[in-house]
Amino acid sequence: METIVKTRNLTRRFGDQHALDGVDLAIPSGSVVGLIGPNGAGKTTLLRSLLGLSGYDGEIEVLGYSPRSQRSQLMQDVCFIADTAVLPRWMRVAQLLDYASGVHPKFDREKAEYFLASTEVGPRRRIRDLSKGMMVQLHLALVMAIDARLLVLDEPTLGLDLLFRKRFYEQLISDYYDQDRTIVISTHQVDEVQHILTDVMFINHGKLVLSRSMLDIEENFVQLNAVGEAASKALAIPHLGSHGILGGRAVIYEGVSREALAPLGELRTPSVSDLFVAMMGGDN
Amino acid sequence: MAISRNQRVFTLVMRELQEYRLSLVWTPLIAAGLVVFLMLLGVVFGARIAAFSGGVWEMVVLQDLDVHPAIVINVEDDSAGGLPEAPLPPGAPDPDGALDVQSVPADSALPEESWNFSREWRFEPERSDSEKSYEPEVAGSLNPLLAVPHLLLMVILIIVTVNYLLGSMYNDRKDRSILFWKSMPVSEWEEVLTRLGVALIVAPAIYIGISLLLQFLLLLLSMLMVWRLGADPFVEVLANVQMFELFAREVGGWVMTALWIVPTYGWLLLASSWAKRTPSFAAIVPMLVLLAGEQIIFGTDFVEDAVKNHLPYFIGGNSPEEFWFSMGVQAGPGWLSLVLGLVFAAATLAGAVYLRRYRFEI
Repeated sequence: METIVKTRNLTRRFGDQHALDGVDLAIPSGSVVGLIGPNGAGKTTLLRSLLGLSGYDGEIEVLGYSPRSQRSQLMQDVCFIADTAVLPRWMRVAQLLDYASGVHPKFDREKAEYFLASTEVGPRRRIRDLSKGMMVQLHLALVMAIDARLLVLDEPTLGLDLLFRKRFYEQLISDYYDQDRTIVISTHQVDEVQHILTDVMFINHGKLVLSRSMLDIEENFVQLNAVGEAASKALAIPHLGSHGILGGRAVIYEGVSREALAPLGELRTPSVSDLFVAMMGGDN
Repeated sequence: MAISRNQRVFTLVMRELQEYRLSLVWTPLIAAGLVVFLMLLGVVFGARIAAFSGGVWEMVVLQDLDVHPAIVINVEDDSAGGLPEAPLPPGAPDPDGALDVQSVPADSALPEESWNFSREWRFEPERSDSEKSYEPEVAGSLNPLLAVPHLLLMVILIIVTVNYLLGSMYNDRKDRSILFWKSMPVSEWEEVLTRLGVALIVAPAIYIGISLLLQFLLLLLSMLMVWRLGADPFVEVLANVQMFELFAREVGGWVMTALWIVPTYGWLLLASSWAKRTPSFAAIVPMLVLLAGEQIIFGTDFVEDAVKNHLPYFIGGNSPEEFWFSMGVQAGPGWLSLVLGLVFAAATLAGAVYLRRYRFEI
């Protein structure tokens, strides 16, 4: 599989603080990557570096381009939503579509209009008059109408309600995603995107803590729900972390065989969010 | 889908015009509309307003041409005006279709120069001033009068453009829509050059176009007015307008102005790209510091001269006619300043591109 994004020793400092600290990553094409990390972990800095929106030390190659000096070429094949509500507020919806069709060779206006037809975002409306949710719909319609190879979404659903978020990801997967496209999503709402991800990356304090495919996680990580006495036995085995459940503890292990754990209780694959909490917080 | 080069440029320019529609499109239309409206009032309400508007013209012409014409409106009766006139054969057009210059007897009660609306335009150079060398056709021309509304629009243009440039690289950083613009495959050079192009070519084209239209309308209205006052509008008005010269001065004048003014505009773009809070401060303060610093440390004023050479007021001198045309190399501050200005402009543009690419965060 072709690697679409590659970084080597990617570092970014703000004063003494390392926003990014020697990140090496590789994103294969056709994957849907969830970039997960606590606030201030460096998610946004990482994504903006990949998009040529931020300075960095180290090496980045996105689709063979250097994102900073070759941003405009890169943007032919990459699109992104770097933040919510950044569409130019003075514009009308139709003007925005005019602009995109005038400068972006891979933008399909009809497609965008088709996506918008199912929303309340009319072509005559001014962007500043749209609600936050409608702005996100508009932005998503715009980027989905671009035949790009890489789509980067940084907290695209921040501040939207649950229904909206669900619709957003459904549409992304059903109307946009195919095997040739790569999507990178950073979000706090891990549970909502888990089912669409093929790969997960955890980032904390500017360091890449984990980078695995979902299949890999299924094979290597296991969560044991142990109740009663079994719980203390379970905690005695080296583990990543644990959290309380009704009448016992859920313990998450890496690289421990399922057979060995089976007598202690119910086994399952940990959810991405539980795995994340376990790796970040240990026992709590 | 392939996008042609022209379509791309058109899209980028349209974006600017849409964002700054009020200042770049509506403002000149409204200004022109107001002038036409005032003129229309003059036509409708006849002699009194006409005389008044003549008074306004008189003031302006007086300042700018440094001559002292008096405009005499003679409406009631041909003979009541008491003007000494050279008898023209009735119905015979002026020999050269232009103004008739006459000498007025020294003891006449008339002002030193007088324009007689009712019959013909009269103009007499100030006899006491021997240095005055206005040719009759120039002096009698209506072009200086038409240059007045043009000057008005050009002054508005400069103000609007300065404001546009200061905001153009700053506003989208402030409202963070730059995060959207940067997701489009448009290079920083394209962005900066589009803005400069709008400031130097597109906006002036709009303003000059509207100005020409306005002057045409004013011409029609003054013909109407002259006709109402009982004179032949073709002889009195139209024959005294040198269309080609007018056009060449106003359009060509801008071309020359653009060459001189481009370093200033480039500097404004740079300031707009650089500013963290107030672009106008970012534009003015470093220049003042440089200017004062040079004077204090070296006691010279090269910076001041250089800046002066490329500001619109100083480029042209004082008259509206000179303002927009003959700031050419011979009349102006010279080749060296022009070339250095262009080099400086190129540097500021490169700086603006660099900042846009590498340091765009506020």
